[in-house]
Amino acid sequence: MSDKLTPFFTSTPLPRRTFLRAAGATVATSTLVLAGCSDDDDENTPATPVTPQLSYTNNVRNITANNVVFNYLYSLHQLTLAFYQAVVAAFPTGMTTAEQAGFTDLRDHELIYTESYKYLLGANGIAPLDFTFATLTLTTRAGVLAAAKKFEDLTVAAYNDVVVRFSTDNTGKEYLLFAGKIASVKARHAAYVRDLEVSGSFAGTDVVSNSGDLAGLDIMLAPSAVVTELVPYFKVTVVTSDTAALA
Amino acid sequence: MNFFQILSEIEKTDPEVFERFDSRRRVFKHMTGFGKKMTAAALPLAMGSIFNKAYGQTTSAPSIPDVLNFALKLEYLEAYFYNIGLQGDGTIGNNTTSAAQTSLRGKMSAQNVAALLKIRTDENNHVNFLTDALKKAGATPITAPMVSQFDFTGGKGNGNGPFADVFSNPATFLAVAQSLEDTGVRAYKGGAPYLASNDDILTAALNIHSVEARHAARLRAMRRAGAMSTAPATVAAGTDPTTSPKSWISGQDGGGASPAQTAAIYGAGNAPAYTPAGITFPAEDNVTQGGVNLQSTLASLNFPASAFSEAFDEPLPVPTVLTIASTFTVTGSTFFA
Repeated sequence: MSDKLTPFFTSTPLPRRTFLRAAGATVATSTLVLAGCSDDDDENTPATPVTPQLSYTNNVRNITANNVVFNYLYSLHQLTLAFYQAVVAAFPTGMTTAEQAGFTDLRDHELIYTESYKYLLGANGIAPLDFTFATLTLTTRAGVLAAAKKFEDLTVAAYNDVVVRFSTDNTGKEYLLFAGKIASVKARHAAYVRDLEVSGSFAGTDVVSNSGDLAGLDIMLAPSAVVTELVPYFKVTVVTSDTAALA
Repeated sequence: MNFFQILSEIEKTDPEVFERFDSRRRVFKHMTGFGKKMTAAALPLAMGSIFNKAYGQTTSAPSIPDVLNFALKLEYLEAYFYNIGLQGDGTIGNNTTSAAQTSLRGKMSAQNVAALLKIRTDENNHVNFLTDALKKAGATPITAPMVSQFDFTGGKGNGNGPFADVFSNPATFLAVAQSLEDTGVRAYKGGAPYLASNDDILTAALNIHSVEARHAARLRAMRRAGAMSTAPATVAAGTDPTTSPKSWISGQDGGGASPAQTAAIYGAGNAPAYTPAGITFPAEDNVTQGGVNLQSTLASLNFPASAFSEAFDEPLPVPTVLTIASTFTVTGSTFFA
């Protein structure tokens, strides 16, 4: 399995269905990765709904750490894209024209990230995912901003964590640089939505501490912690413990 | 095998062995982790990776201390800028307030002053953090530069350059601030590949990098909304990105806040010979990532080039950043040489 960046970009045409989903016209049916499902010897136990599991290895034999990390980031962008698509499809009352333009930019950027990762990963990539935002209040400006802040800060924290999870050879450095190019734009997003919610909170002390050993540094969170925060929105059980790349 | 015995033996010939790791405590932290998840058989391999981190730098590319000192210079530049403009005599840790600083603050909303003071705090903390990180790595941080090394008017020492009113006109102050922060974002990205052999330092550098991006986003909002605005992010970007930018960089932003002086901040960098294969330094309007033109490859999205450029910030190599930063040093200064 090749681990080079470039070939995957040139390998797979963009499926039309993906575009329709991305444009918000339909919700594509997900094909989930079923990993670690129950054995066959449980016929005597009461039937309980089985939540499918998502593994960032995508069950690809010998998948590289670089691609596992990209699958993880890809899933975060899928989530954020689905969120912004829901917002843009029905802006809440109270959101001004200027803010609607800003959120349309955010949606567009997420669409580009999602499609880029999909392309880059090729056969290594996890399938498109479904999400639920039932626990969010998307009908009010305050609800949308609170959710956007959460998703943007979590993604910044995730990017700040994964930098050491790539291989240290030149290929890993290419992955690192690709991720780094997105990481700072995500920080711009986070600052923007935070400032919309509370003017002046762009680098609030809840994300950039003023004191202590790490004063002046941004937050970072390990994959397991990020995934735990996102449990309410995934329709699958996300597994990070099955690969050393995310441990 | 006794790991501590080995370290002790090394210490006899290399007294700085512990300093070569990030810190003594960090070594023990590593060991604790290994105990939990590794078998005895895997231990030698793990120890090999520890020693690689401490001794593995053998290329003509900048060393980890080189990159950290380069970053420290940029942080001094930024910290002194906010210190001189807002509070203090310029140096780290001085908090006096002059009449000129009070006057500049009075021309901005309380919300914007508070935002700038938070940025000032962060930049001073970055200087302190990098200084400590260099010491912990067993390297020598640069000595704090004299305030007189800098001329933030861009006049190279005559105090009357293209940004002559930088510390009295908030529009000029914000224009220079945005330029410094956008430069910082690109500089850390360009330095990151040379830090990849030390996990803790790479993480710290990129966690500073995202803070610079947060700063840049706020400053850009303040520029489009005006210094007296109370909630600048709520204001839409205008049609001229040089005066009314988005919170992210769109294309080359028309050359930035003052194109005659700032265009290079958004332009392409000259890759040094030691640059690893696959790493390039295109201008900010780049739409090619991983060797493929995303705009044409993802043509079905029907997005303009600006959207693809906005979604990715680009790196700048160390020499290009030094040239940009020397805009703000006096003639004869070797600080950014």
